[in-house]
This record gives sequence, C-alpha cells and structure tokens, in this order.
Amino acid sequence: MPALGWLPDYEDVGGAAVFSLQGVSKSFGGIKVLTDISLTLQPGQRLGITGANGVGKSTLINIATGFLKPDNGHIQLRERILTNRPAWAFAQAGIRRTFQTTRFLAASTLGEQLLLAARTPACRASLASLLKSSGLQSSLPLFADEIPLPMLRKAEVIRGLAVQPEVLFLDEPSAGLTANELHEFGHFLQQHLPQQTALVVVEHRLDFMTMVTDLVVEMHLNQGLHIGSDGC
Amino acid sequence: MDLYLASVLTNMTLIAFLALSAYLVLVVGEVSFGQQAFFCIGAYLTASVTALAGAHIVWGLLAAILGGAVCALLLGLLTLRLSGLYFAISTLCFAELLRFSLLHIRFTRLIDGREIGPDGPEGFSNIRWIFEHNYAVTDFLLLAASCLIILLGLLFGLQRSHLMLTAHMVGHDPVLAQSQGFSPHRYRLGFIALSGAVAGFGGGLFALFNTHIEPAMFGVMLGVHGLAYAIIGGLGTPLGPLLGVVLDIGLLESIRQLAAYRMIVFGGLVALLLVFRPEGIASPRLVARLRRRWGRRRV
Repeated sequence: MPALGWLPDYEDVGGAAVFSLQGVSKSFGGIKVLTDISLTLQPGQRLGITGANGVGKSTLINIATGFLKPDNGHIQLRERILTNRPAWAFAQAGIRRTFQTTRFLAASTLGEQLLLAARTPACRASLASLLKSSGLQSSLPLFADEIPLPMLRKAEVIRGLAVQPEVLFLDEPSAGLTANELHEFGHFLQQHLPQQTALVVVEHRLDFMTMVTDLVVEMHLNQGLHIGSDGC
Repeated sequence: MDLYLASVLTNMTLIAFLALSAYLVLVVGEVSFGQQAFFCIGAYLTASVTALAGAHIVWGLLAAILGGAVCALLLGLLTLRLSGLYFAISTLCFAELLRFSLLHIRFTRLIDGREIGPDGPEGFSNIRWIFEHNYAVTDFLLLAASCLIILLGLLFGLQRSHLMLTAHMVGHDPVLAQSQGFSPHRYRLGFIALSGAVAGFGGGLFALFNTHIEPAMFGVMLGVHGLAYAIIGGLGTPLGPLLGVVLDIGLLESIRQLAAYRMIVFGGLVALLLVFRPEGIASPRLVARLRRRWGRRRV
C-alpha cells in the first residue's frame, strides 16, 4: 500500500482487514504528536508497538479506541466507519482496550463489574469460561483494592475479552508488574486470546512483546508509520 | 397524631423527593443547583390542573411528573455537553430564570368567587383540592409517605441492577463506561429526566399540601438544601438523601430550641462531613462493604 496519508485509500484494504486507521495525524496545540499514521490489522494479528516516551504511542491507542479525535484521517472496523464516532461506539463495535493504570470501580465487587461488561448470554458464557480457566474466581467477591495488581491486569483483559471483541488494545500492561508476573501475564494472554481477535500491545518490554506478538514496530517522533496489508 | 409532628413529617417527605432528585443527578456524576426548578414546575402544574382545571390530583401529579421530566430532559439536551461546574451553573441559571419568569406570569380566573391561578409575585393561592376532599393532614402525610416509600422501593429494587450500576460507573469513571460501550451522555440525560420527574412529583405534593405557592418559595436555597441532603447522606443507597433530610429538617428545624441555630449547625455539619466523610455518611464504599458483610451480594 502506498504511503499516502493525505489520500486515504481504505477501500482496497477493506476486504480481509478487520481494523484500519489511515492517514491519522494529531497535534496538541502547536505540538505535532502524530503525523501520517496508518495501521491495518488482519483478524487474529498480534502487533506490538514500542518507542521512546512521548512519541505518541498512547495518543495512537486513544485515537484508535475513540478517546481522542484525530485531526485528520480515517478509522474503520470492517465496513463500519468510526472516524467521528464517540468512544463508546468504538467499544460497541468491538474495539476494547485496557488502561495503563487499571480502572475499576471502588464500590462494586470484581464479579459485579465483570458481569456489567458481559450483558448478553453469549458474553456471559464466554466470561464464565474465561474465569474458570484463569483462576480468578476466588477474587470475584472482592473489591479492586483487595486484589493484587497482576490479578487486576488479567481481570481487565477478561473484561475486554468477555464480549469477544474484534480488536483488543493493551496500553502498557507491564506497568507495575515484576518480570515474573509479566511472564505469567504473557502466558495468560497466549492461552486466552481468541484466534480471531486482533491484538495491539503498546509496551516497552521487548521480552514480553516477543512472547505475545508476531510483529513489533518502533514509533519515531513525527516520522509516520505504515503497518498493514503489504506486510510492511 | 400531633398536628405539628404530622406537618413536620409531611415537610420532610416532600423535601425528600427533592433530595432524591438531586441524588439521581449526583449518581451520574453531575451536580445540579437547579432541582428546585422542577419542583417548582411540578407545583405550578399540579396547582393549575387541580385548582384551575378542576381535575383529580392523579392528573395533577401526572402532569407534574411529566412536566418535570420533559423540562429536565430539554435542559439536559441543551446543557449536558457542558459538564462539571458549567453544568451546575447552567442548572442554577435555569432555575432562577424560571423563578423570575413566574413573577411575570398572570393567568387568573374567577372560580366560585375566588381568584385562582398564578398571579405573578403573589403566587398561586387557593389550591384547595385536599380541603375540598376532606383530607386531614395525617391522610395527606400517609399519601405522600406511601408515594415516597414506593419510589424508594423502586430505587432499592434497581440498586444492584445493570442500569444503576452502569449509572454509578458513568458517575465515577465515564472513561471506563465509554471503554465498555456505554454512552455517558445518554445515561446522564436519562437520569436527569428521571430526577426532573421525581422533583416535579414532590413539587406537586408540595403545592397540594401548602395550598399556596409563590415564586419566592423556589429560590436557590431550596435547591442547595436538596443537594446538600444528598451529599451529606451519600450516594451508596437511596436512603442517603433521606438521612440528610432527617438530620436537617427532622433534628434541627423541628426542635424549636435548635431552630435559631439551624443554619450554623447545619453549615458546620456540612463542613465537618466534607472533611471526614467526603463521600457522605452512607458512601458507596461503606454500603458495598456492609452489603458484603451481611451476605447480600449477588455474584
């Protein structure tokens, strides 16, 4: 695919691709953070994105999940154009994410919050099977501040996977985990990620990336990025 | 029952509706200084339907519920894209706008030799439905209290429902709610409309009980008190706002020796609570932990 940020030729990547983000740029005030980013994901693809602090990795996740609006560019999930839709529409369409600091409510138990994420019987069934194989069941009656961080990281992934998303974005899952815990988290991901779900991990830890992703790309400040159907 | 006690209890019941409406807005993470507006709309609508049109109070109260909800929804549609402080300010402006507009609305008719209808700053007098139908104060208290209990029952029933839990999530962490596909805007709109309905209903009962209403009754302080009750009580349970009402009206206003010091004690109480229990007495955290201790969890 030619690197034409200003001419989004998303039509010809629409076929097999599950998620595509074309020609995205973003500046905050006068500071350009992203220029000409294109990213196309195939079903089941595992992609790692790394790069120095401040090159816009988190901005990219926030744009891809709808929490920030790009200045220009085009975002679509299968045939659905999501470019100017709010973040909840991204989530409803099947794009789920986790956060650098885990987000749970203080006044509901873990079980309640996971149930809240899985509203249909199908989601509830997949939640039940995820819980069974992950060993999180004993933590269900607990509140988030009573559960150790490694468990919360897994719970956040389970919360995302329960709805059988098309794409799952993980924003620095290693934050706060020891090497062992991270390794275990990697195993957990390998075991539980459905084949069809595309995964994007933004992360510094390359050992973890090599464990869970097929491809790692490095972002540089304002240099553009084209990952996609041509196999980059 | 002692007439004084009955009227204090009725007063508490009526204000409890206002406090619950403030609570419903707080649940979805917004602060409204304008719930008195919906209370006022409900009061004027019920007064008009029962006294002017001569209809049964059921219709009057239905009009109050509907009017409160519709006005709240419209206000929400206009202002909810603002959030936080700006939303709070816009609700306050709306309430004051309404109050000042009512000073200029005159629509009176002569019914049975009495001037009836809104008469600017003089207000709306002779809302005589409960007299004409021989309701004693205690009867009216019973009616208002049963309505309050039904509302509380509904809110309790919904307390651990998806709807309520999601609303709390929208209130505490809208980013988390969005990441799970819930639109904070829609939840906020829905709950603000609901709060308008609840406040409108309370206002309708207030008009029937007071038999006279005037714009000056629906000033900022009414809304501020309603809000304060909800904040003092905490968002953990629908009983929280009731706790605030009981503390302020039940203890301070009604014990006559204390009445003179009411605002001093109440203000001090609010300040102390903000320091020691910023999430209110029955905070969500406390209620959730108590619920677990008593084994009433649902997972």
